[in-house]
Formats: sequence, structure tokens, C-alpha cells
Amino acid sequence: MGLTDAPEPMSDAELRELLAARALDASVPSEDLQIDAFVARDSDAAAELARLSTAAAWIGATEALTPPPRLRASVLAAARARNRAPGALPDDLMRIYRRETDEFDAFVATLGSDDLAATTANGLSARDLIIHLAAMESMVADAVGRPVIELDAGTDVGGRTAAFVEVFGVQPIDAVLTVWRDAVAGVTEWAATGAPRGLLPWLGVEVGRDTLLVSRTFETWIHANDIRRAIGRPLEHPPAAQLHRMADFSMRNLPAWLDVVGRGHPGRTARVVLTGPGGGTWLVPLAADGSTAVEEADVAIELDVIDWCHRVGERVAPDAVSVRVTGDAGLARDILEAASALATL
Amino acid sequence: MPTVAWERGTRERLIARDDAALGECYDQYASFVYGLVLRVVRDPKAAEDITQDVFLGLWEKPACFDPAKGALRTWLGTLAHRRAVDHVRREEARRRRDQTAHNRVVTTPDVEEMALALMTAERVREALELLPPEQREAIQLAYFDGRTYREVAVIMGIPEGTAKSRLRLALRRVAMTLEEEDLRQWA
Repeated sequence: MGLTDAPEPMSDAELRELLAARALDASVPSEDLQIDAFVARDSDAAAELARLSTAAAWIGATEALTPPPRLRASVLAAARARNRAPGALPDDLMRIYRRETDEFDAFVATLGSDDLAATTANGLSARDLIIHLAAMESMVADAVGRPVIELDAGTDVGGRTAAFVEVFGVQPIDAVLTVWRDAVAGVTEWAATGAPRGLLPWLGVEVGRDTLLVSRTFETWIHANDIRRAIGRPLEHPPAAQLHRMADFSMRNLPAWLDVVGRGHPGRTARVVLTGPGGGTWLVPLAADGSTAVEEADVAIELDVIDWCHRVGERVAPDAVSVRVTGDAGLARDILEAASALATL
Repeated sequence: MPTVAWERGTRERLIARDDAALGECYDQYASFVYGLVLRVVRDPKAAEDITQDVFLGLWEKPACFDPAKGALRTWLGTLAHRRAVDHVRREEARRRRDQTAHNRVVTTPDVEEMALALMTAERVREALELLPPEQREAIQLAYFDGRTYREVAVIMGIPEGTAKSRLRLALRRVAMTLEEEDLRQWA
């Protein structure tokens, strides 16, 4: 994408006069970038464009005409052919991965250049955080045998992100989004078409297909909210069923995470109650040594499911979480510490 | 009219790759999309191809449609019109072909929604007919002939600023008609 005839910068007043033309697709293509950037930063302009676009669509509706009957079957056949997994996606993990990545794609499309330059909580600009996601997603694509980019960027999270930023930091955001989309498509295809149930190397540990899908869903959601936070937009959360699946994933992995951070407690059990839509109750053994959870838990902790997920993503410190503890407070602290064992950025 | 709740539910089903949801969207909006595209491109085969692309666009990127920001009709209409105009601009030589005769019969399964849509479209048609002729011509050139506002200015022999303001006044008049119509329907 490139402008062949870069137009003169226009004032907001001039841009406002072009909103009707934009709604009618009658603006000049070389001016569209300026108009779209104006709309992205001016909420009144965005509302006016939405109003005029609705009017334009209704002008189109005055021409409604039944298409040839064969077209319906043709559209549905083409849709099925494009669906890499015939019919519905085969399991809920693929659906939540698909949903979250689709949401992210749509969200990024709403970001203007000022938004992309905003600094997120982890120090990266929004643009670089998107590049980081592409670096990670393409690493997954590599791991599952569907490489999408020839770039010797390694598998160290920081090093790989830096290498991607060096290449894509100076290019239009669409360039790295193409890599990210290709990687998402590759992972989806792998997961949908008989992905092996064996373990894959990921960030220094061996993980299964389901763990990989949920952790990618998790990271995509967390980073989208990082950007929303940086540009002052309200945070958005997945539907309750998806939150529950993600919380369940974290509970299944919590024993291993406790061991990873050196806080495992063999033979002891926690009852974790996550409140709010998508929450639930889990009995969790506090070490991955094969011991099972028992009804007589040594500690019970209760907190909001969103707070827990933010803790897993390390978006809140252990002592900043509002949590009710009954029983051994030391165990509760270790659980909250271990929750973010796999958080990367 | 389809509710926001219906649109949200349909969006989630599309994201979950439920092709029955795509079929429902097609039944609801195919006449709108196809009629609009055919009016712009004036080529039934191209109109079918673009209509198919529009629904496949919804199928492949359902999350790009945000019910909080506008109705699915507007989203599909914007996508359809943009693709139709792109086609026209690429196929300049074919742009002036005779329009195929077409009736205005619309059949879809959601009778209530389409009845309301037909009534609204009729109000919009009346609003267009009530526009000053120079505004109506500007809309015709820009929206249905795929002309830019600069080309509209040249064709009509007016300054660019006048072309912009004619388009703006005309479109605002239609928007006001819709807002009045919306109020009437909910009264």
C-alpha cells in the first residue's frame, strides 16, 4: 500500500465537509487516509459518518432486487469451502481461539496512528505490542509445522519480539498484521485437521494442543486490553463461557505452575472460588507430583474471575488483588504468586 | 427490524462457523445487497460475484461487524457499495451499459422485517424525489454511478465545494427522513 499522490494535509473543517462524500464512497482515494484518521480521533465526526453511512445504505435499499435463486446455494457452498474445518469448529477451544483472534483483528482495525503510538503498561507501544503478538503467533505456527515467515528471530520471547520490531516497526501496521493473520490461520488449520495430541515445545516447556490454544487466546485478550487501557478505551472481556474455559485451564495448570515458581506443596489442597459470570469452584492440588485434591482443603480463596484472569496474565500484583482467604494464608499467597508463572509480557 | 440482540447472537454464531447463520443473513439481506450492487455495476454476473464476496466477507470476518456501531444492514451496504464502486472504477468502459429491466419484488423469510424495510425504503425513495434536482443528480452520480465528488463537480460544471455541499445536504435530508421514520415506527 502506498500513496502515489500524497495530498496536502487538510484542516478538520475541510475533512468534516468530506464526510458525506466518504459515506457515499465518493471521496478521492488519496484523501481517504486523512478522512479515516480524522474520524478515528473525532467522536463527533465518527457519529456523523455513521449517520450518513446509514443514510447511504438506505439509498441503496431503494434498489432491492431478489437475486437469481442459484446464488444462495453458491454463497453457502463457497463459505463451506473456505471453512478450513468443515461444518462448525470441532471443539470449544478452537471456537474461543477463533473468537478472540477475530475480536483482536476487528479491534486493531479501529486504531488510528495516535493509538498505535500510545505506550502500554509493559513499556511497548501499541504498535510494538501488536508486533509482539505476531512474533509469538508465528512462533506457534513454526512449532506446529506451519511457518509463515522466513525470519531468523529465534524462540526467546524478548529477542524474537525485538527482531520483529526491527523489521516491522517501520512498515505500515498491515504488514505485520498479515503475518499475524497467516499465523492464526495456520494454527487454526493445524488444530482443526487432526492436530497431534502429543506435546509441543513451547517457551521451554512441553505443552499439548489444548493448552496452546487457550494460552494463545489468553494472551490475545490480555494484550487487546493492554492497548485499550493505554488509549483510554473501556476494557472488554470474553463471554462467560469463554472466561470459564480459560479459568478452568488455569486451574488445571496451577499445580505445575506452583512447581515452576518453586512454591509447590505436595499433599495439600486449595479450594478456589471464582465469582462473577464464568466463575466456578475448583479443588486444586498444590503440587504436580501426582497427588490428588481432597475435599478437606487447607485453604480456600475467593476472588472475582476477571481479577484471577488478570493475575494469570500478570496484569495485577498478588497483593493488589481483592481476595478472601480462609485457612493457610501462606498457601494463598503462593497460589497468587504462581498464577502468573507463564506470563511473558 | 432485527434487534441488536439478534444481530449479536448471529455474529457469535458466525464466529462459531455456523453456516445456518450465514444462510439466515443471506435470506434477510441478499435482495438488498444484490439490488444495490446491480444498480451500481449494471452487470448481473458481476453483481452476483460481488454479492457472493460480500457474504463471504461476513463469513470470514464476522467480528469486524460491531452491532454497537450500527446495524448489519448498514455494514453490509457499506461493504457492498464499496466493492461495487471499486468494480465500476476498474471496469470504466462497461459502466454505461443499459440497466437490465428489473422488478422490485422482494422475497425473504422475515416478512415483518422486510415489510418495515420496504416501507422505509419507500420513504427514502420519496425523500430522494423531493430533493432539489441538482442534489438528486449529485447523489445519482456519486452513489449509483460511482463518481468521486471531484468528477461530480466536473460533470455538473460546478466548483468542488458546491459538489461536496450538495452531497452533504442531500444525505443529511435522507438521514433526517430515516430518523423521522424510526420515530414513527416506534411511536
